[in-house]
Amino acid sequence: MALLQVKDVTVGFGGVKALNGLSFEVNQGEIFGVIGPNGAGKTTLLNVVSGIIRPSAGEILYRGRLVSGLPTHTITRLGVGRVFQITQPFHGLTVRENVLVGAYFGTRKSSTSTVDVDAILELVGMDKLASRPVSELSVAMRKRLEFARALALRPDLLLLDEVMAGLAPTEVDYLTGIVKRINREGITIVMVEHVMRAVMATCRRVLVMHLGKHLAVDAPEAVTRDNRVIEVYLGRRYAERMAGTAGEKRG
Amino acid sequence: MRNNLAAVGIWVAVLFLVLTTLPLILSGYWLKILTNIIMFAVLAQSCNIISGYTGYPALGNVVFFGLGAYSTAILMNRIGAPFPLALLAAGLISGLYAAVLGLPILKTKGHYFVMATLGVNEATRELVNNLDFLTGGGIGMSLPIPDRSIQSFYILIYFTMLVILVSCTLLVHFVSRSPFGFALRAIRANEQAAGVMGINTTLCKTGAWVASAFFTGLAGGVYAYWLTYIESQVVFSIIIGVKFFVILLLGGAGTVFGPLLGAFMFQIIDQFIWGAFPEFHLGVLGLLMIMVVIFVPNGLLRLFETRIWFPAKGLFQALGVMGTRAGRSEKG
Repeated sequence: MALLQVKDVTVGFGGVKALNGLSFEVNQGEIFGVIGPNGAGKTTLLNVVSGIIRPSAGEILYRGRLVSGLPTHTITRLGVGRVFQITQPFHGLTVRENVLVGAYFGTRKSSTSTVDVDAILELVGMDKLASRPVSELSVAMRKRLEFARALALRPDLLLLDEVMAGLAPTEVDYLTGIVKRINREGITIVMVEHVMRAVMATCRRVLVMHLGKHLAVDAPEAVTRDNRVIEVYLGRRYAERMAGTAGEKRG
Repeated sequence: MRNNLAAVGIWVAVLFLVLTTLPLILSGYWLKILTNIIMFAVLAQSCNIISGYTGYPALGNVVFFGLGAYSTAILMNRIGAPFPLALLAAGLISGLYAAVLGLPILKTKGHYFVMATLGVNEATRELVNNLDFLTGGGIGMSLPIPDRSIQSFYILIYFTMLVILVSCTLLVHFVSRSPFGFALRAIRANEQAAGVMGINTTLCKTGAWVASAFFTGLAGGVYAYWLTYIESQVVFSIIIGVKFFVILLLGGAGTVFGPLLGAFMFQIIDQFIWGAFPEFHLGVLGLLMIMVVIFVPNGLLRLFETRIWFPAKGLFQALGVMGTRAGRSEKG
């Protein structure tokens, strides 16, 4: 059975429909990409799944259980973690305390003993920054902190909202490595991403969204060859470049 | 870390000794001022829980002060309840009021929350004014005159206020280090992210406000018994609300001892201004408030830490390092 099922979900803001009858399923253990042009409703989708916004129609099932309409913290404790597009650290707390918050409240048993905060900080390469206030961190480090905080929730499903945006290529590769590693450890991942370098390197399947609707779901290579996707999102130039590199490889 | 703890322990012990012996030697006038300082420290500390730690500027918290005062007055006057019982009930009633109000009002934020709490204060005062049979309406209400000497009564009031301050401060101290305290600080920093981190934000915010209201209500109850006469214009006065809020900012919002320092400093300055500018008192006080917000937005306690305590500590450490180096080179 699918871990996450989104069924005919619609979200309206006044007259605008950010999501318009969207349906898809995410399987246990996969890295599932979500791409699409700006305004396609990608962030809204993550907000609906994590309970920040309630859908006006449709339902969301997690492990077969209806979760749309539940409060955010309940959904988190069921095992759904979230990393924000714009980093939202808790100012006034140190790096370690930021991660501790997730360990205290996000896990089902609500005890810190089951979560090794220091191991998580080491995983994202921030163990030496543990006692620093978050205001001293660089953008890249804040992104990693978001990751660490979400991992402290011990999620089974992790929602990543454009975590690669604005990062240098080396940093993108570093985070991609972490994504792959935690996925191997059993965490299912849904990642909204514009950085195709990260999408191609990690995702098994990709959902392409356009105007709140489902445009295509397929393997990343197939999606990048899909004419409709090229039309609305990737553009001709990208397609030609990808075709070119593919040709070189064959030759 | 252990040194730090010992230093704090010594400071607290000295403070406690001074605060317990002073009232026994002070004149009536100074005892009144000291009791007033303690009361405003309680009000600022209570406000600290919801405003300092949780980030909800509860300017209208004075509603719980008035509610506590009237609850105590009504229970003692109409039912004949003994003071300790009436006081406890006043605290609980205030807390309950916050729980009921909190669910709708704590959904608002920032300026909207300020306005909502002010609105609640005005509405509650009007309600008290119109429940003549219970509250005496606009005439006000007197409480039973205590059956003991004036001096011993004032000392009793002082110590009751002090016990409330100590419990309130202990609560803030322990909460600030607990998971609940983490949750409150996370809500202050970013409520949406706090929810996604698994924090039940509604429950935590409401809990913080209930605790805040409980202690504010207790202070109101003691105040009513102290003055033996209350009227709605005084106990629901927004001036009280502004005053404890400024004290909180002056001392340092979101710190354990800030409200205490703030209350002390504010009262000293207030006394001085009264003496120096008897006619322009409120004007000077207003200027002072503006200066606090501009020049010490983080409060005196943090100013003291960053400008005096940390540099001094750094200097001592540097000297210490030089000392050990000198020692080593001698050995070598």
